[in-house]
Amino acid sequence: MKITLINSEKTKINKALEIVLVKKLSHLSSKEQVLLKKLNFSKDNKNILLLEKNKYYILCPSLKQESVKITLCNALRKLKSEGFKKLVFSLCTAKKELELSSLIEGLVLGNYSFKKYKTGHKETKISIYIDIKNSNKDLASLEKECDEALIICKNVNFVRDLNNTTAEDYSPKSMSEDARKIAKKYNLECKIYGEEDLAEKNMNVMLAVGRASRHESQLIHLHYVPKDKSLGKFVLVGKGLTYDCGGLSLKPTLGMLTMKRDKTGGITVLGIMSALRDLNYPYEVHGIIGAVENMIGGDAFKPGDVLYAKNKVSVEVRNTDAEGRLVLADCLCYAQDEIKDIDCLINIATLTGACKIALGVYTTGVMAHSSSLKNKMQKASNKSGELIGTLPFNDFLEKLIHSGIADVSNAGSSPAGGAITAALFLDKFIKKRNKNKWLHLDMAGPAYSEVPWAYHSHGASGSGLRLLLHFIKHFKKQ
Amino acid sequence: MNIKLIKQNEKKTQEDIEIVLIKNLKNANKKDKGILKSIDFTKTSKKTFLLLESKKFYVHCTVFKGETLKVLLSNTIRELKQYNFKNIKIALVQENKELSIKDICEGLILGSYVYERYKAKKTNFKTSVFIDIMASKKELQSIELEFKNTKIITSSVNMVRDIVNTTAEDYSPETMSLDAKKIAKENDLDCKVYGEDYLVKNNMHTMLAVGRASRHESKLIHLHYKPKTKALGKVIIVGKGLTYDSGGLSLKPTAGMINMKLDKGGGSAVLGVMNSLRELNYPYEVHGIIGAVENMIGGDAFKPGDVLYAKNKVSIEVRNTDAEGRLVLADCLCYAQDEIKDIDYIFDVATLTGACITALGTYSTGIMGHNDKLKTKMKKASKNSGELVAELPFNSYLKPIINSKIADITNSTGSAGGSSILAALFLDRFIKKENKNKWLHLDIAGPSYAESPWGYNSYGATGAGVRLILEFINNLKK
Repeated sequence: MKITLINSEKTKINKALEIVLVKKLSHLSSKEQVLLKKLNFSKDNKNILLLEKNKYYILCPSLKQESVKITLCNALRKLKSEGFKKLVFSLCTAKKELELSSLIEGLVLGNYSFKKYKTGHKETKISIYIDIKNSNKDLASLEKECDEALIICKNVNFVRDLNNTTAEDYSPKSMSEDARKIAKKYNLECKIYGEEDLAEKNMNVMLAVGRASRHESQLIHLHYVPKDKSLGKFVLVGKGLTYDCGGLSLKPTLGMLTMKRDKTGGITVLGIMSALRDLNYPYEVHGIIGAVENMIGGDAFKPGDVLYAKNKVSVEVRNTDAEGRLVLADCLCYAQDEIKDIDCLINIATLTGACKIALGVYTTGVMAHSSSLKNKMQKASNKSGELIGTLPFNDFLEKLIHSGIADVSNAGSSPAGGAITAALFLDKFIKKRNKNKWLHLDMAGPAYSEVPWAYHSHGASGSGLRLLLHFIKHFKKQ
Repeated sequence: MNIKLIKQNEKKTQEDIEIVLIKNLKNANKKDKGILKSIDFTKTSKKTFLLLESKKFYVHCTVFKGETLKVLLSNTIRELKQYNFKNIKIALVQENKELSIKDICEGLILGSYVYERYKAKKTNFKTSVFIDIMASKKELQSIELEFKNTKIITSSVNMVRDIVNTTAEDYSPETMSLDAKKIAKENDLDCKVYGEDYLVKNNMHTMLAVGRASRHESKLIHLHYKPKTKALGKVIIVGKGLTYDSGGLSLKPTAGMINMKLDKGGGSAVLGVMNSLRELNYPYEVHGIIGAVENMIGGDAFKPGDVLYAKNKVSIEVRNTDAEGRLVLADCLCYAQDEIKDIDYIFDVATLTGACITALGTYSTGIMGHNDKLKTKMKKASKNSGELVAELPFNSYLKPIINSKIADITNSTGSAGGSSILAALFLDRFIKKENKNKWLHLDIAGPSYAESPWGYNSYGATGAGVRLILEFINNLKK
């Protein structure tokens, strides 16, 4: 897909089908109004293609960001599937200048589909022209906005691609290789540690999870330093389970089916790290990923085992399928041991089914001690369009992860509040000085869906990336 | 929707839009040709093109007959419905090919069906479709007859859809018997309705047992059509009319119970057939017999482990109260053969087994019987009517599986394969020797009802069986 900004007053585009977003019929010419009314253009008949006029009208009752993105995405998908190759629409629609970045997100994210495993697939080329006539902004600032939106979308699609890649084709090693490539391309520092290093660093909890797999676990550490003076220091820790069969606490067939997506947190960190240089963010950002495969086998760790994390906390494994928190535990310890003066520590993971039950599949669960951080995340959610819901801690839930034999248990004694008890488990590995700087994002719901929704198609949605980039960008301003 | 035949030159219609089928644009005017060619219509996935200035709705069509045409016209009318066109025209001859009136009308009438009884907002679809028969090479009389017959049949199909879509709360065995009486009155049929007293007196204990726990009285319905001229033969159709099937003490799981109003699909199809015969003027005597029963759970329910005696004295071990359809059919088949002599054909039609769906998919009716010629005839009827059928063969190894240790036969064999065939072999025990080769069993569990619309069927009931059986009877003449 090629997106071009044009001004129809200066350049004419021939033979392009015009997409017209209609908020109210009264915004159209009286001739068009009569025509569309006659054709019952309404909630019951939302889109009308008039070939003779070369126009495609689509109802968009609200011009808020998300609804524009979704409407445009729907229009694009429909017209593309019908074979139209050249589309044009106006930035200034329905007496309002739309947000260019929203348009681009709707188009680029909506146009995505994953065809790696479809043989004989040919991507249909489509050209899109955004007519900037009547815009109040100058061309240069519009172009900058367009470029930034394209960088973000490109990385969302990059995350989707990696996440949609099967576990057979994407091991912890593939992830560390991708990290190296990104580091080289964008001039980041990159450290990769294998299992020997983990043993040396006493990261035995993370080691245990990957033990039965034929793939070596990888600890990945990327580091972005801005060209100019840094305004603050972020640490992002991602859960990168390239496959999670559950281990000896084996998942049922259906639950295992999409478990290639359990690397979402780690992949999201990769996507963010590869966007920072292009976006020229003025913050220092560390990206740390625990890339591990959780398999079953003769060497597997077992329910009943007691493991010691890097910070010496002992963990009773009551369920080998609550492995993400084990990997994150050691990664969080590593991050805080290695990096001083952290301003904000965020871990991202597809962690619990309970989070989906709590919030539905479209929403990321946010948990933290600091209300102000949660508020900031809510603002980033409003801006980016990624949905979040906060799940509150309380004093009573902690006893659910109490262990009779070790310091803490990796599985709640009851499924109640499962997303929160997982966060409380992670909390055991957050140093005191960082407690109020820490945020936990559980993306088990929105990361992946076999049912397309909004501008996401079948599979990975790339959720988390836009949310966190907005969060980082506006961190100091608020 | 109102469909009329017209001749263009004798009556000028004021159509809002004309449906034009195009394969190679012979039918399009010059300007439209240009537009359609410019978007390369043969290569797009888009099948319909609205060109308002020339008042044409072009439909890209490669096969001008049969199911392909019906489905295409069904999609077309659904789309035109959204545009609120009041007067629609279609020519019978398209690109020099004469279409069949039957295909056109079935596509339009069956495709535009929606069931809105329980919706506050109803679509008010007052459209007239004019079929221009000007260029037809057929005799006017034969066109008119085909047109009339198709309207009779489709209106019966839609009546059956209405009945099956009605909730069990609003459609009890009593309701079904009232509908039978109404149909008898309108079509000059004999109608006998018997209640539970009659069933007791006539030893129909298996049917009685199934309806025992329900607050609704079971009804045995017997409709009888005699042609005005001498009958060429005698056809019996027995339908399973379970107005609701909770499974009884062998209670269905929630998801499996939701659509169980559909379990009257067989009985309703019988009503649909009986409702058409007089107007179609078929020269065969036809008996329609329905066991209308509700299978509920309660203090008075029949139990797994019970042994019941059917009307023909065969004893049945009830091993599963959810295999109740065959119990009702058993007594109804006995009744039919006791009451009616010199039968030429005897069919039973029922939403009988989930195994039939597993075997053939949801779109096909399973046909079972001893007589290969009969099955071949039914397959021919399938081809002409467009209802899909497939044969499930009997064999000698399956036969003994329904034997019971405590009674003559059992109504459920647990996990043995071939459950649809076993159900048919169960019914076979109630077919008299002289009728064995006259009997066919139709399992419509799949095509009778669907929550995902397919072809020209919308959400819910499809009216399966009506067109198939009518076509079968109609073909007997030849």
